[in-house]
This record gives sequence, structure tokens and C-alpha cells, in this order.
Amino acid sequence: MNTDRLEDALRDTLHAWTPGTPAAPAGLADRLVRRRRRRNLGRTAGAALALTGIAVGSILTTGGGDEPPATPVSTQSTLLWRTSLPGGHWDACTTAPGAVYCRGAAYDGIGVDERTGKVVWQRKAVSPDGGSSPSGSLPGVRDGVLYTYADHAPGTSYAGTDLLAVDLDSRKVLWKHKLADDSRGTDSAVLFDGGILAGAPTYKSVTALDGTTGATLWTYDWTQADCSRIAAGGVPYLLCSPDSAKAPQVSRVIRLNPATGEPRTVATVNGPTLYLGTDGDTVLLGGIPEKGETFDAPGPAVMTRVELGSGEVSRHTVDTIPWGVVADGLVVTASKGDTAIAYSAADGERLWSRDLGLVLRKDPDDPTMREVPSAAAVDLGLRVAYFLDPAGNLVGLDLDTGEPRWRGHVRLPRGPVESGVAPELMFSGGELTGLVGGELFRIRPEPA
Amino acid sequence: MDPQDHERFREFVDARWSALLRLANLLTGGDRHEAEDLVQTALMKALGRWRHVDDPEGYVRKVMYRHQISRWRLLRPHREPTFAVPPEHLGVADGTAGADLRITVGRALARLTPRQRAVLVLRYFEDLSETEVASALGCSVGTVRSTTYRSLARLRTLAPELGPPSRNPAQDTYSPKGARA
Repeated sequence: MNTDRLEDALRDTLHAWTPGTPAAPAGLADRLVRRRRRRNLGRTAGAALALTGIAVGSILTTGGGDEPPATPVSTQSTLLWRTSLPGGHWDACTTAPGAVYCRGAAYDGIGVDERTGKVVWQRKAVSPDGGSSPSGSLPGVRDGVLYTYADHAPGTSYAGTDLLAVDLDSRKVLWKHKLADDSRGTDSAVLFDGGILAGAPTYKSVTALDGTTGATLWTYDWTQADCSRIAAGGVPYLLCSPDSAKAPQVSRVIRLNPATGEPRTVATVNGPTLYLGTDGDTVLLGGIPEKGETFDAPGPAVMTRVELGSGEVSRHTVDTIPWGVVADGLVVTASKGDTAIAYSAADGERLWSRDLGLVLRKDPDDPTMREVPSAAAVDLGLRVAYFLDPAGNLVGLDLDTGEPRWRGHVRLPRGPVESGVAPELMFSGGELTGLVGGELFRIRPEPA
Repeated sequence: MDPQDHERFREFVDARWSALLRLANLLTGGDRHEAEDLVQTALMKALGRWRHVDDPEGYVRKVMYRHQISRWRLLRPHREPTFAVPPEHLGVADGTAGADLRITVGRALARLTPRQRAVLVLRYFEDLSETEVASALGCSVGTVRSTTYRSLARLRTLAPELGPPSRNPAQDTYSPKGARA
């Protein structure tokens, strides 16, 4: 390709590259003006304090000064709304422009206005008392369609699971497709550019469905492996690990052509692996610790990075497998309950750990069990990782140092201890949406 | 800030947010959070000089160019920014030449250094001349020229599908189309 053609291709690519949100976030200009005003006030106060410091310093030799100044912890925030959702218990939510959508035992879906907290749409489950499984996540919303889960055979002892597409304007079910299992987890249905990847029709296959019609676009089968499904850059991938000791002991990262399902092995890694997350265009995989038989066994383990573009594989010995939220080169976890830990996604090195200072009650019937905090909700703009406890306490830690930068609280009714059930916290548009049981709220933090 | 300026600022943000975010998306290589952060930072700076700025959009864009380059200079070496978010709007690799080429170029663009990408964005998206790019980035025209040349070469390295430059010496010479230096 000559330079002229390359330049044309560049222009074409750059002009096709558009942001997803055409409008400015509501009230952004006003928020910026307020931020500037606070900053000016801070500077004025700082200047006054500095002058005082000089005056005192000229009289007293205080010494010291080697310690870095502690970051002030802001408690400033605005609670935008709090809503008690009907139906008691809710499993998972997802944010979409203008609304928050959740799924629970009694509802296949409910929509809450992002600005007011009002319930604007709901779809009740056919038989809320059936044997349905809770959802670990919601697949999401795209082009005015909510993808959620519903019981396949409501009211029966084995209800099964359908992937459900609901048009948000007409509130009609566009289509449903039976899934192979009831896990309803993050990889049960995955949105990619061109469709939605569903775990169907068997445990060892995937089906790509048209997002609007539900028509099958293509399927892909495999043997002797368990495969997680992800989408990276809009392209579907399978992360396959041997399903038994008899299977070949290698893991594979397989790229599926979005249009045809044609597989291409990106990389092969020795031994069983587990998907940890995606860091840019790199997939992180965890291996079984050397002296263990399961992934969560203690002791040194291997973290493998696979570059999806080049297929380059790098292996790193780590003290412990970094489970958690992957964000901008870090893996942030609160798996030890009251302590957040950040690991480098590049090599698994532990970068910082910090006491969250949240309230996590022990189970009175089993003192070894306790409440757990939410997973981290990360604001990459201000570089803060937020956590929520079941009592409504919130904390924001600096992503780079772990220093607390914000604390907040939302008054929530206290229920009995539900050990092991994590609240859900999501970050979007500079605001946090939290879900504890049936209480949903939205708060705008103002970290230091 | 008096109410009139406040209103003017609000109107500017509402009217120009989309265009500014689009530019920020390109400069940050598709990192949505970084892009929003970049626009907000530039708007905050503009706010401080609001009364003295004749061309708010030009001012904000210039702040974005420079801020994007300077802030990566300050990053610690071990913290590689995560770009490589292939843009979702370039289409699906469906075998059609145009969509495939956009995806290939988009991915390669996302893996350039911030400086390389900024120069290409200014030249081929903002359509600035080499002199204007030099002025916007605070560097010499020679630096703009050499950075453009190296950035295009790097694109070819990152995306071998683009192929080597033509063997025709006349076409092989770097001579940007529509250059207004």
C-alpha cells in the first residue's frame, strides 16, 4: 500500500471513529463551574495556611517534614435518589444510558430512571417461586433491547434458563433462546459486534444470535475442554481449559470470526487455566498453584498474559492469583473482605493494600462467615476505586496508591446478615449506582 | 463567574461536547474514561480564562493536544497506558475490504505512542498543516515531519496487512497528500 492510500485509510478510520455518547452528561457545565469554585476556595485557604506556616516556622524550628502529606479524605457527595425496588431480593443490575436495569427473583427485568430513581418499566417473572437460579450478572442493553434471563419452564422443579430479548420501547419480548445451563453468569450470554454469544445448545458449544431477531447466525462446538466466553474489542473469544485429566493438558485462546464463527487459535498455554480478566487487548489467565489441585489453593501460582493481537504469551510467577476487577493495568480486589489489594496486571506484583474501613458483620450462626463488600467500581477519569458494604458505607481509594480519597454513606435499612452475598456497585457518568438487597441508590461522589 | 458567562459556558459545553469527545477519543486511542477526563480537564482550564478567550473551541482543542502529550510524559515508566481498545464503530470484520481496513488501521492506531497518535490525528483528522501542528504541539516543523514519517512506518509494522510502501520511488517518498506546510 503506498503512502497516499495509507493516508486515505487513516482519514477514513479516524472519521469513522466516533464516541458513543453524542450529548454532554446532564449538568456537566454546572459541575465544572462548581469544581472550579471549590478549587479556588481551596487555593485561597491553602495560601492563607501557607502564610501562617511561614510565620510559625520563622519562630519554631519544627524539623521533620520527610513524611509525604496525607491526602485529605473528602466526604462530599450528593445522594441523587434512593429507591426500594419491589419484590424484595434482586440479583444483578446493569447501567445503560438514562436508566438502570436489574433482574431479581420476582422480576425478569425492571428499569429505573437514572435521574429520578423512579421505576419506569417492569416485567414480572411468570412464576417467582419456581426453582430458578439467581443471576450473577445481566448481559446488558444495546440498541434499545434489554438482554436478561427468564425461567424456561416456570414453576417446574427444573426451570431451566432462557436468554430473553426485550424491546424497551414496546416492552415486548422480541425473542428467547434456551441456554444449556443455569449459571446465568458473566459469560452465559456475551454481547459482541454483530450479535450475542450464548452458551447453547450444549455445554460444549456456543451459538451466535442476531440481537434483534434471535436468529442463529452460527454455532461452534468443541470437545475435551471447558470454555469461557468473552468479547474483546467487539470480537468473540473462547478461553478453553481441559475438562478432565484425560484431556490434553493445554489451554487455548480461540478467536471466533464475528461474521462466520470461523475459529482461529490465538495462543496455546500449558495446563488448565482460568480467565481473570482483560487488560486492554491482553487476556489474563490464572494457573493452578504449584502445590495445589484447585485454582484457589494457596501458594505461588502462574499468571499468564496472552496478547490477542499477536498471540504473544508471557508467564509470571505470582504469590497468589490476582482475582478481581481489571482496570488500566491493575487488578483491584477486595477478596479478603476488609482489605483491598491492587496487583499489577503486567506481572502480578502486589502494588498496595489498604484497609477499607467498611462495616462487615459476622454471621451469628457461623462466626467464620461474614458479609462481604462489593467488587471495585472504578473511575478511570479521577483514578478512584470505590467499594460498598451492605450497611451503605462507601469508600473511594486512589487507584495508584490505595490512599482513601472519599468516604460516603447512604442510609439503608439493616436486614439480617447475608454472609457471602456482595452488594453491587457500578460507576457511570461520574456517579455510583449501588444495590443492596432490594435497595437501589445513586450517589455522586466528590473525591479529594 | 457572572451569570452571563456561566450561561455562555453551559451553551458551549452542550453544543461542542460531542465534537470534543470525538477528538479526545482519537487522542487517547479509544479509552473512553481518559477521553472524558481529557475534555473535562481542558474545559476546566478554559473556564479559568473564559472571559479572555476569543475562540473557546480552538483554545480547548489546543489544551487537549498539549495536555494529552504532556501527561503521558509524566507517567511512571512501568505504567503502560492501556490503549488497544479497538473502536466499536469501525464495523465488524466481515470480509468487506473497507471495514477490514478500518479495523486494521484502528487497532494499529490504538497502539501508537500518544505523541505519534496525536500528530496523525492533527494531520489527518483535524486536517492541520505541518506548521499548524507544530504550533499546536509546541515543537518544530521538522519534528512534526519526522514524527509523521515514523508514525506511518510504525503503523505498517503494527499492521503488516497494510504492506510495505510502494517500490515506485516517486510514491515511496514521504509526501503527504494535501500537505499545507
